[in-house]
Amino acid sequence: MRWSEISSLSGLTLRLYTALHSWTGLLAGFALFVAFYAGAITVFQDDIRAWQDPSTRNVAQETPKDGERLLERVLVAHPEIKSRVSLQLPAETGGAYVAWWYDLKKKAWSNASLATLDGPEGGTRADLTSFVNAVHYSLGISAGGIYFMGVVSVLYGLALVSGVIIHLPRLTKDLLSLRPGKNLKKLWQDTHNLIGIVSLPFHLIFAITGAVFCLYALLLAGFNTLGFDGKLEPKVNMALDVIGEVQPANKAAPMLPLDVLLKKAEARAPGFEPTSLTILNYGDANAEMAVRGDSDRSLAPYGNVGIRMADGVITDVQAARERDANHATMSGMYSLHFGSYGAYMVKWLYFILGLGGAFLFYSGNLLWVESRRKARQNRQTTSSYRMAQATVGICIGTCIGISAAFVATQAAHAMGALDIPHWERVAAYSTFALAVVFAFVRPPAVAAIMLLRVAGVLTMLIPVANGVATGDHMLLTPWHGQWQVFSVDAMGLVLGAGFLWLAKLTRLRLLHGQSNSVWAMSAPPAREEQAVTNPA
Amino acid sequence: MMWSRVAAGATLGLTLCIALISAVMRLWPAPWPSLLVPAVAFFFPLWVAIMIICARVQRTLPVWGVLLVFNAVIFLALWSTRHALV
Repeated sequence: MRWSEISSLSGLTLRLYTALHSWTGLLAGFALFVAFYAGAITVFQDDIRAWQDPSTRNVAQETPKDGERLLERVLVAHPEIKSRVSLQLPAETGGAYVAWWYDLKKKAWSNASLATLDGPEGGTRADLTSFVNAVHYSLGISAGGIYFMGVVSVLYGLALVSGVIIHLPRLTKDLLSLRPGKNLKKLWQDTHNLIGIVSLPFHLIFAITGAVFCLYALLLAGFNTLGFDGKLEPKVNMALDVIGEVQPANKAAPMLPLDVLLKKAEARAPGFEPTSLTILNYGDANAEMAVRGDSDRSLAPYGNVGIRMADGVITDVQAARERDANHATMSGMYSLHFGSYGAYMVKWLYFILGLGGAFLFYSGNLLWVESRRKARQNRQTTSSYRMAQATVGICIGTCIGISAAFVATQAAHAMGALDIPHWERVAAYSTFALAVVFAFVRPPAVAAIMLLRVAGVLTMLIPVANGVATGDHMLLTPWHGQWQVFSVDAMGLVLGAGFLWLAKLTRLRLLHGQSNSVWAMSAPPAREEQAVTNPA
Repeated sequence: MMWSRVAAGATLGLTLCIALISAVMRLWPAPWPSLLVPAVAFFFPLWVAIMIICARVQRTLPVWGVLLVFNAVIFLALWSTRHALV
């Protein structure tokens, strides 16, 4: 093969990359819509954390002594997790210490706070933030979902690069052109291109960091076997963490108080604010703690300090201004992916980018449908019809499912339910499934209007549910300084209004738009017509 | 046939990326474990670039052949220097 055989950007090349762009986009589009919509909401996870648990509102911030009491009670109840347990600090949860561990019997993450331990037996805190985050990075599929999303991220990268190549020749001419008019496909195309090109740097960041976060374990296994003759595996922990290199001594020893350990970590890395702890072998002479947190005045704030719990010796510091290439790269990727390098302005930017990304995949599917539109007949092809149904069901169903989880959280609190995470998931998955079924038994336009209305009402119920369940309604929370709770309620109102507006637009399209489209059809293509339009 | 070339990039391109990056890490003046995360971060853009280039080449068989030869050469070099790894 001579590299001269690589053609210039001819019509053939353009067609080739258009096919690559369309099919990789379609294959990954649904999963990416879910990831981007859930990801946009995850940007505000600190606010949602304060919103989801009324028991942490208006209470005095717990002290490190409370953290120690929690840790000891959790370890008495679950001695098997002494080897690894994590603690979220009040700075991150909004007031309480929260212990997290992986429950091998349940094969799921469990959590507890002093409030849940003192409450009814078996009570579990709401974990809406974890649930929405899990939907973001694994579609909520516990077995293999993260690897699936890793593959989706690679397809996303392929779709991005091929999309840029397709649009390069017309970039300067078409970049900022939005051509509303009778040709709806052109308008969708312009909007798709505009959002895609303007937010391209962020999309490249999300594609690369998303693939790394989802697939790094598999990839490192590949490097270990193929490139490093099995010598890489022992070095991985050191590259990614600050603890875990020392084996337990199997000898009990008293642990230094939590506040002493935290002060030592903060003194060693000035400007470093701890947000969570990972503890290995608590109570053992070789017990270690990783203090995780954020440094001020850094574009990559995430960092770690390793400390021995028995004598308080700092074993490793990987915080801003003093870290190696591995930790600096990891922190930079976290920062770029989650927008943690800035305050609320950056969060809002990421929120808009997330919604814009979701729109990119939604509009990509609509373009596919429009490209196959039969201009001179009312009946459209089965593939277009089904794609429109799937797009409506999965995309709007996702929005409904997530809003339902929010409403269920407050409803479960109000009704005194013990296992709140269970009800969050029941609400999300059942409403999503119903939306998808509804989309496939109704014509796309009718389903879209109905489901958008449901999404609008359900999302607007988020502040209502919070107000009814806790009494912290939107007219009170700003006066009480509960801006995090207020902002989640306000987000529900704004998003809900947006869905209702989209429902209105879709209804106008159904009533007054061109009739030769799946968006004007009142029934699926008849079997005999399918046979004509799809001879294969 | 484009999908066959993309498949070549996805499969042989994947192993070629691992081999290339492993070779660069080993040749880098700093100890190779200090480059693990940057290497993983660099892997995906390189892999996607290989798939995109493979899609654009006009003939299918040479794509598989060239990737196979590159893989063989670099893996042979890695294998023959495995004793130098620490």
